[in-house]
Amino acid sequence: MSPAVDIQDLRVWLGGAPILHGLDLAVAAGEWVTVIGPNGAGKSTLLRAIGGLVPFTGTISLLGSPTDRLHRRDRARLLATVPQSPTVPPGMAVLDYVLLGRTPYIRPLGRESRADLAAVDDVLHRLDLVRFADRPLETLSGGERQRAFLARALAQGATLLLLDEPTSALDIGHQQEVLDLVDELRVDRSLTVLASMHDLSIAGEYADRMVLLAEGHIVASGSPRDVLTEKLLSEHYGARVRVIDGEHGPLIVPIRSPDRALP
Amino acid sequence: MSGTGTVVRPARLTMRWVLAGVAAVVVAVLAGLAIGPVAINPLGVVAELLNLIPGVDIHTGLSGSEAAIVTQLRLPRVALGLLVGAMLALAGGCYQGVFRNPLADPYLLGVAAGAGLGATAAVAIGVSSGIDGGGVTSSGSAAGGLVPAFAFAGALVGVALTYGLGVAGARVRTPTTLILAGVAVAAFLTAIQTYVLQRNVETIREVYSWLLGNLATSGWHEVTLALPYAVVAAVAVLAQRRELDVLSVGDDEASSLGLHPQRSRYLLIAAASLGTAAAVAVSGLIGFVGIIVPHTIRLVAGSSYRVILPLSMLFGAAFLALSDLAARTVMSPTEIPIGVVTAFLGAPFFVLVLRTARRVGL
Repeated sequence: MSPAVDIQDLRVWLGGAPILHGLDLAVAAGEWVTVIGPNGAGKSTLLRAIGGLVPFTGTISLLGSPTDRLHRRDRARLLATVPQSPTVPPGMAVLDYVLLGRTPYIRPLGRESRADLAAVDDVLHRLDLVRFADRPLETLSGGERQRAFLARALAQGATLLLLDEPTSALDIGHQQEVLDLVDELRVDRSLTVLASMHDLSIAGEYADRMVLLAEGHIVASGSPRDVLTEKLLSEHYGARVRVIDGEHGPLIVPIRSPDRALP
Repeated sequence: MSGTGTVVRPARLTMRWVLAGVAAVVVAVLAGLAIGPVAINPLGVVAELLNLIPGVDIHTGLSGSEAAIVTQLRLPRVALGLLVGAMLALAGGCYQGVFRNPLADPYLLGVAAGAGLGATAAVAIGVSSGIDGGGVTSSGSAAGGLVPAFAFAGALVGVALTYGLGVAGARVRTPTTLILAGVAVAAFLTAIQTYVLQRNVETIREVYSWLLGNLATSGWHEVTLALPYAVVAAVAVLAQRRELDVLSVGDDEASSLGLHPQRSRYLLIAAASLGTAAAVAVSGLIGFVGIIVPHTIRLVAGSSYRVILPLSMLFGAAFLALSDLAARTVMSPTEIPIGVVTAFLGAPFFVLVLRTARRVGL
């Protein structure tokens, strides 16, 4: 069986500068892989390349189909993306926003079918958004809004979900709520999740596998316990951390510089 | 469908709003036909209109000259007002969606100035075959045969320059950058137009009168000239109203949803510019319609372009027909250019939109 995502020798240049240097990565169907790395490592660029939003060399295949041979609409049926800061169209109701997720199924110049409306209805119920359906998206709280972003992605009916920093704007309670929901959906709907995240402890608790990216190279890949080590984090983040063995994965505790400790 | 059986209802044009739009058009038509230097009984006007339907013959109670005023003088002018108003409002709503910019409007984007230059150039080089044997017609409209095509070319040049300067070439992309670019492009194109006019003094007076914007007509000539372009533009824009909603999440997200944003944008710009060109070719430069009408619709009827665009056409048509009524009656017998009336209403409205846009962080 083909991997859900298969990346070979991926290279990306932006503004003439090399960002990704020949990455190889395979994500199995049903797997949750989280990409971590310091700022500027190329995490978002990797996700954008998979989503077809930046030019690249090398090959990226989704469920066995190279993306450069996929029509835009077909790619959108395989792959749904929640960007880091999704645009919130002023005045747009949650229902209409989620309905945008059905775009790959609506022929050009056409309108939604009953099946499209049913798919959206299903997603709104699943994500407990029915009561917000008529509310403008911008009036929702951060956690509710993140659920609406997820709902639009789910309405695409894709089995592969790309999440770019899905919890960066949320407090810790809402971070857990959103990631628990993604994990439930992954099991319910046999989704494959490829995420980029900054919070290492939370990332390690949910991912099956982690990929550490630094300066455009994959420098470590494996289980959270293999990747979230004091040595690797110190080497690539320049961070002083203590790694504690937690119930669901390693917990990362930042340690203040001893030179600047209070007297 | 989920087990709970909820039926989701997306943003759609409701019958209530369609009826309101149609009612506004009917009121504008009746007022436009009944009110003027010669006041005519509105019931007689209705009867006269019904008599235009083949096979209908109702006693109107109007004298022969009154009937002629209604059907031969005022009706073409009202029809032209409806057509131009619908086009300008539709184009404004479309540009606002395409550029994701609440301030976009054919006038402010340099599109109308481009169309004006194109039309002026057509008159100056003599390609028009107006009903008076070339050039600007006696009514002051530049309604020669090829003038709309020249106006369309000018409109596309105008919007391409504005887009290139304000979006593609700008380091910081904000709604204001685009508008600043539009103002600069409009000034530049207007300067060229002035130069062309100075070089062709024999047409200067007629073209100037047309540029100020007016709906004075010579029978049905202007309406029949602009109508085919307007129909094509309206069908092309309305067919893509769902795409405009998708574009509202930005190009990257629209692309992730399977849309080709750049292709949709170009098609929509071409269609809206064609509508603008058709309007400008027969009525001159009439500002602010494209900003007042779609914004009011957005405030009261919802933010989906599936609602905004058709309603903008209806209410834009009514708005311009009523503005024209004001233009020809407020200082009667002197007629004010209609562009002055719409600017008088539009300028304060524009300030209001700017304040609102700033508040919501656009």
